Amino acid sequence: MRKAAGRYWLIDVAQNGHPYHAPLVLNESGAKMADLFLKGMDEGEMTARLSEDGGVDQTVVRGDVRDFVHSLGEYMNSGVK
Amino acid sequence: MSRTDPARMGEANVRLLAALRQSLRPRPGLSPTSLGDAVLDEAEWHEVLPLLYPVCHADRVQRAAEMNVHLFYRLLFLGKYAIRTLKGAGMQVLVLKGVSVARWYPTPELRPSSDVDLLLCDSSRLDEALRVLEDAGFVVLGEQNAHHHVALSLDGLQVELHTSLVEAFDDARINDAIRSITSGFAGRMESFSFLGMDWPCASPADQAFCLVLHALQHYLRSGFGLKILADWVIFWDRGIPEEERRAYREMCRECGILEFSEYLSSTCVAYLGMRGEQTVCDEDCALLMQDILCSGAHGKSSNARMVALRGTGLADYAREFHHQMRLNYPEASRVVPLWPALWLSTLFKFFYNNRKVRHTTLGNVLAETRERSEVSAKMHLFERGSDR
Repeated sequence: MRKAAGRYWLIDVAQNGHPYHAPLVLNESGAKMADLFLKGMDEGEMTARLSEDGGVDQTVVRGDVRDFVHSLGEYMNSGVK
Repeated sequence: MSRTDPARMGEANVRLLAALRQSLRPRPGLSPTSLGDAVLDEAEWHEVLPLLYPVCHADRVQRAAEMNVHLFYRLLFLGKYAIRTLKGAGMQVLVLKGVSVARWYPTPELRPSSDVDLLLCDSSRLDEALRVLEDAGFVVLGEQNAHHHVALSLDGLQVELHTSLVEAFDDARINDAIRSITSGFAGRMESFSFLGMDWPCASPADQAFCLVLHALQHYLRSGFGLKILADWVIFWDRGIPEEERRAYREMCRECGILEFSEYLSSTCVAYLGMRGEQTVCDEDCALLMQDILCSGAHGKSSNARMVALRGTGLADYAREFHHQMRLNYPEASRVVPLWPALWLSTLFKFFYNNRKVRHTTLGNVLAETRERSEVSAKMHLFERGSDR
């Protein structure tokens, strides 16, 4: 993941370049979730960590994490040849 | 107003230079500020708007920076695909400028670029390389605007496959020296890792040589803008080993362009805070900076803007005219008896373009050429033994 122009860019570095797999552009909270995901945490672990860090109830965070993981899965699958 | 008067630069340009100075080497805790539309207009004209992101988060800058990041990655992976394709066919290439310079920027993704430049180490394999790239989906462009590279496109983006670093200059000895130096690039090439790939690149001295030739080519044609100076600052500020510096200076000395290199560096020290010694006087740096500010990114500031000659004498005009003839008619100009007809044709083309394409007069073109050439005359271009 890279940071540039105030955004976070999740890049498929394994791609060959053609067809091109564009980066996933994330905001601050998306980047936090991506970071935890890339460290190998599952949805439950991510929810617990974000809830603790943000001082919010897990029920608030759970839906966002689920949506994010789903989007990330779609992004990763779209790069599969 | 004297040509070296700072007021001639315009307040917007003065503020742009100050902003670039900060953004190329952002200090920790730097807070974005407002620069105003006039400054941003100038930055856009020089195609350095994305570089201002560290010091300005105006909507225009934000949009330009984001678009640049998108383009940066598209070009990066386009380059990766081209390099791997050619490597797979047993052909060595190295990256010219592009990511090999961008990696030294505080945020590489903000370095503006519009295409991928690769040097084919063995130029005798050009036809083979083009076939390999075409098989991989690249399309050789029908209209080629240069003789030192072949432009191909894929997915709307351009790769320029170079067989030499720059277009031929008007001096056969210099062109031979450049060819000789370039032929050694493959033996000195290195690689660096960036985003999961090892990128082949020239040695530091060779990279510096590429940069100075690129700047010189643009300077002599119709000028260059701040984008090239930004690369210069970034490249030299990161520090290169002393032996590489010596090798670079020797290459420049061999080609008679060491003074030009000193002018570039001194101007960057004076106006962009580059580390190093200013060896060229303030007045001459001001003249060069004036030329750069007037050029914009592609030397298109005015319809009358044309080449900078190596001097202001009749011989300099004749030399350039003959060189333009050879560029226009690369094959026919090898037949000496055809020269008078080719000179005539070049002259007609020149008058026609002035009138119909550039919508300017011969007088304006000559006046602007003379002004630009007064600066370049001081650089003693291509003269051996003129170095400091």
